[in-house]
Amino acid sequence: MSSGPEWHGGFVIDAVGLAKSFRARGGGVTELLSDASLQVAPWTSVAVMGRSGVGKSTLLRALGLFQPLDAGSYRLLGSDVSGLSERACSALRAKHIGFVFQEFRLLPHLTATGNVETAAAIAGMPVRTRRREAHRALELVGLSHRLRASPRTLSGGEQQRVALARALVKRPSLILADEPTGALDDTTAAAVLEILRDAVAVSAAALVVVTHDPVVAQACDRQLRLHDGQLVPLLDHTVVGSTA
Amino acid sequence: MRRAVTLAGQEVRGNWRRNLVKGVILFGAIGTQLFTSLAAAASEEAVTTYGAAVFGYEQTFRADLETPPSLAQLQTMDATLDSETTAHPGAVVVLQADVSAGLTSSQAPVAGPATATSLTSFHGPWAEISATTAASTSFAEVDGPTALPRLVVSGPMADRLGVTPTRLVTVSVAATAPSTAESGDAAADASESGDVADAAESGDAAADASDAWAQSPRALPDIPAHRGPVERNKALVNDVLASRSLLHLIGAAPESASIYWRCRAPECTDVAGIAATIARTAGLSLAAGNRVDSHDELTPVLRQQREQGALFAWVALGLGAVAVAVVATAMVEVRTPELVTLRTLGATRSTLFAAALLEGLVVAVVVGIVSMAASLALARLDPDLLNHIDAVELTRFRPPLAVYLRTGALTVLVGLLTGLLPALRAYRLVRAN
Repeated sequence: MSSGPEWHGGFVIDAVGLAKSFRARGGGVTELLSDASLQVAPWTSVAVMGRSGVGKSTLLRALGLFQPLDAGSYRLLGSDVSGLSERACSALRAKHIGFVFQEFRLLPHLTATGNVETAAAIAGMPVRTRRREAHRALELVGLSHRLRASPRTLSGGEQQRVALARALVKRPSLILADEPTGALDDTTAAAVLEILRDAVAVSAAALVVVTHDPVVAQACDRQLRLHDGQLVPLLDHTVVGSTA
Repeated sequence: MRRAVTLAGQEVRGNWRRNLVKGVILFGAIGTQLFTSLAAAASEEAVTTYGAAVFGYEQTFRADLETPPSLAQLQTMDATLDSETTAHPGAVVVLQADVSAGLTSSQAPVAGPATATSLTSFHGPWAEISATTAASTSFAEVDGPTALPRLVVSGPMADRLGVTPTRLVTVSVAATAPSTAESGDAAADASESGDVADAAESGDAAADASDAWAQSPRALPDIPAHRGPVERNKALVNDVLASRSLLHLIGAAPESASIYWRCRAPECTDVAGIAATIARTAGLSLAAGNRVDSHDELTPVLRQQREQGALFAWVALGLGAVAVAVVATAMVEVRTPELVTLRTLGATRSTLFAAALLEGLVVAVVVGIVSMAASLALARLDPDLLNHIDAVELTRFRPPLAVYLRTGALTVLVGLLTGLLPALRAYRLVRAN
């Protein structure tokens, strides 16, 4: 379901009628996405809520080009990505999509800088600028003093900030976050949200956050709920604003 | 590919503890291969050193006379050989003649003297010898039941002559006794002329003198004595001595003849010249010499060491490679979440496959370099450590380049093979996750 036209000309995400179903072990079919539509413009953040198992992660995987869809049209940055090859999808992910996970998913054997540099390397950043950009991203998330720290020595909040730096180092057009504050205390969660909002504002990125946390949802520009395979609005600031 | 290289580099550095485990196993496998090859090379060098130091030679050459010599020519060469080897104590030259043609009619089994028609100098039947003498591998003279001196042909010699190896022959020699020089001359004359009847008569005369032989069995005038070279070329000269003795006894020209010489590498040209001189004095020409062996006696030992070492090394390499492949695959499975994370960052499956393959290759190459460096250091610090020939102390050992080239090639091969399994696993895992 569309949340209405955006004030900006081009969408980062323009997905219409997405459908995905899975065959259950018993032989039945579970339909997680059914005619789900979503448009997200730059500088915009969208929270997707819903109960567990409703298909939020499937939606996020589809938006991140990991999940082939049964039906629907998905345009990313103006290009149709529905039938792209695995290699082309990887290239888009490497350059334009940043992921943030609840469990951080840092590479444990690398330092904070190493983790961020890896993302920069995969994005194709030249060797000579990789280190500098990694340090800049870590500075942006307030970790300039932990550049050489191993993930094992970092607190949960610091680890999530490294993960944020890793997602932001390539200046992505789309940030996909799966419960980014789920493992953090309130203060740290607020700081992480602040970083995400800043990134969206500075990089002209679009942010899609899957969350159960109403506080996180409220911090986003729009709140959607995944229900019966469709995205329905909880509250749309843009619409409210224009109505007012 | 650049991304794969970057990722592989990070994985090797970041997972150094895991890679250390793989490296230790690989070191055992590649190191065994390398050190076994080096041990064989060291032993070979030790044997060469030993041959030069103890026997005075490093290399053995053989050259065939281009035309079969007559008995007279053979005797001329014999005389020249004796004088040349006396004049050049360092030169080890021996003459070998193929007498198998003369013995062809004597190869019948234990039957009796009737078949020994051409061996007119011989007296008495062919007979089986005892297990004790059959086990003898060198020339020997024994007293037979008829109290005549006998010529026992060695096992290898019997092989060359085509005599059934399990039935070595004893030849009762009816040579002229020292006290009856006349009959000895007659026998020699008969031998040279090849006249069977005369020779038979001489044989009868010799038979009459058997009692005298029993008293002095070693005074065989027909069997030439050898001087210095016997001590220095025991095995080779013993064989030749048997040939020459038989030749004298048969009194027939050989089918072919060869000259052998042994020498140290820098002197081989000079010694080859002596061999050519020996042939020239008999009016014969000598074909070009071919190197036949560098250290005859120890060659079987070296071959055994090389073959057994190689077998052991291949088994070790195979087991090590399988172990590393299994460990590396298990490590990849443990790292599945990391691989999935790399996928979310945009790494393709091909990149992860290549990175895993490269990681295995890098570890193997590092291990290969460490092994080679260790072996070089070892060869310098203790050259004798790898030498398995206890009788020789190797004071200097320069490892052969070929061994390192082979180890390098094996290292790359093992690195690729051991990286392939985890790489395929990584490829499939990220697909499934």
